[in-house]
Amino acid sequence: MKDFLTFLHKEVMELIRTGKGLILLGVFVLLGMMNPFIAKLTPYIMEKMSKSLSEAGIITKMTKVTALDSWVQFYKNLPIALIIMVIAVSSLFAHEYEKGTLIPFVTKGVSKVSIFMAKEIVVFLIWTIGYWTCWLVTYFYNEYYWNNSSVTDLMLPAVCWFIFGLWVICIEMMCLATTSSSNLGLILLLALVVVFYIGGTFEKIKDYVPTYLTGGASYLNGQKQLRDMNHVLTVSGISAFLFMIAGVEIFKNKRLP
Amino acid sequence: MDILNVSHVAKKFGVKEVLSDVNFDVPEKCIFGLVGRNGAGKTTLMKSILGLMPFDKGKITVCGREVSYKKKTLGDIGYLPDVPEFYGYMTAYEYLSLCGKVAGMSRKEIDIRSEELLELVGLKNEKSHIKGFSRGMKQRLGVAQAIYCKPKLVIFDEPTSALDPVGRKEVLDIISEVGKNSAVIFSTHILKDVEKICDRVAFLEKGNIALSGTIEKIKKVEHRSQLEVTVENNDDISRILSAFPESVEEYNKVIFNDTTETYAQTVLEFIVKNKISIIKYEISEPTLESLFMEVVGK
Repeated sequence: MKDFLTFLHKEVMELIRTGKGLILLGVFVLLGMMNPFIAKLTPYIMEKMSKSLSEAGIITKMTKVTALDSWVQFYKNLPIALIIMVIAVSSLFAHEYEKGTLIPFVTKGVSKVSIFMAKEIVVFLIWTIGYWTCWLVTYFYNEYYWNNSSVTDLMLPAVCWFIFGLWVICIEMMCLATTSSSNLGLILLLALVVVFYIGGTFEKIKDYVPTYLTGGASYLNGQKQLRDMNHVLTVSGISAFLFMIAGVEIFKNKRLP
Repeated sequence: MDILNVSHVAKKFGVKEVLSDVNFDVPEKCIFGLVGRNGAGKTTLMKSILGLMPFDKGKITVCGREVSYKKKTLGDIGYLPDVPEFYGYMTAYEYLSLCGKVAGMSRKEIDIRSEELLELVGLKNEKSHIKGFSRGMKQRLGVAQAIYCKPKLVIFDEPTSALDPVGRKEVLDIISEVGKNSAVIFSTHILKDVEKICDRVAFLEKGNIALSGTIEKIKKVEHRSQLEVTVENNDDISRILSAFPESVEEYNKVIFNDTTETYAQTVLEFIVKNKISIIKYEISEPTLESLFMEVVGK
């Protein structure tokens, strides 16, 4: 526990002092602000384009924008936020492998499990703080411009997407611990996520595949209840745990250069 | 008591045998020079001792405890890699505090030990982040982190190879100090450094310890000295050469390789008996460099 807390402190210090944490927070805030603004600007853009579109034979009809449009935009932007974060933390292991900065601590008896878990938890923290900041920014802007009461279920899609992010992080950390290069780690992650996405296209198993958690926008109308998510939450939880265990084992056996 | 015991250690990378049968011991408070060419297996051997690399055969014990790659490292070995790298966003003090925290030291102990070591390595007044440090400063900080927890065994991997003469002297002085309390393995290419600070030396060649022992012992016992006789009259050279066919002529000198004390005395007796006028009679001790060259077959 002592080693874990010491390394967690080191990881947080790294995040703050290298400016990476601040940049990521900025990205999440910016994306949170973009959602209501895009929803707000859409009618103006459509109005400007309606003349040229009608000349082309396309008739546009103005509809009233609500908080729901902003939330739909929120779920469209989330993959971008997740990808940015995944890339930003991709050098977490590669940098240490390349420079050999872990060796003095491993030779002092620090367990590799503590080092791995400190890195995993710090990425969980980035995602948690960034994600909910983004959500809150969108929430307050939506409340200011419209009213969030037009959305039936705000929490279920938000929590599901948040859990999906944690699940991706578990796979990413395993991939990053496996390879000595951040690019290779990202390719491995991409390959695994693509496999799950393909799995999610099969009707029979789609409700069990973690990618089902990303249905955010379609859950806003309250069609789905928490109990409908039981299967996918169980599968996601177990698979994330297994990825974490695999990551720890791989890192324990990884030869430090 | 031996701090380190390496017994019949062997290691292969694919079909290439890097260590074939390595045996040596390092006693307490001994500075042990590990010398070898690039690719001789020094780094593999050191990483095996540290538990960072698995080995195929043999046994390594540090303070009586067996080293195993699979298990957590023993933790009582300090290590300075050849190119030490640190977290550039920390100050030297913060980095050393991190070392103290993982060792489970209290805040007060960390403060005292960090101050003491920063003073020893000459970085006490350095408040800037490590990313701005020169190579020499990093090397000195590397020494400080290696000895932070007062380990029984410290391994220095080529600590002086990239330093200027001043930096080299400073690091050698620190290693000599460290050697008063801990056993030290000092891997290097610079044989003068070994002669300067090491108590024992081992030459690693083709995965084996080709020669080892105290420096005085291997110079005196294992290898013979060279005798040079410079004569006044060149005609006398042929007289000496015919009496001692194994000797070699070189300008106005006669060289006797692999000379023992008795043999040198016989030569001197011959010179006196035959009234050969000489300018110089010199027995030169072999240097570590000449011994090393001999070991590697050059």
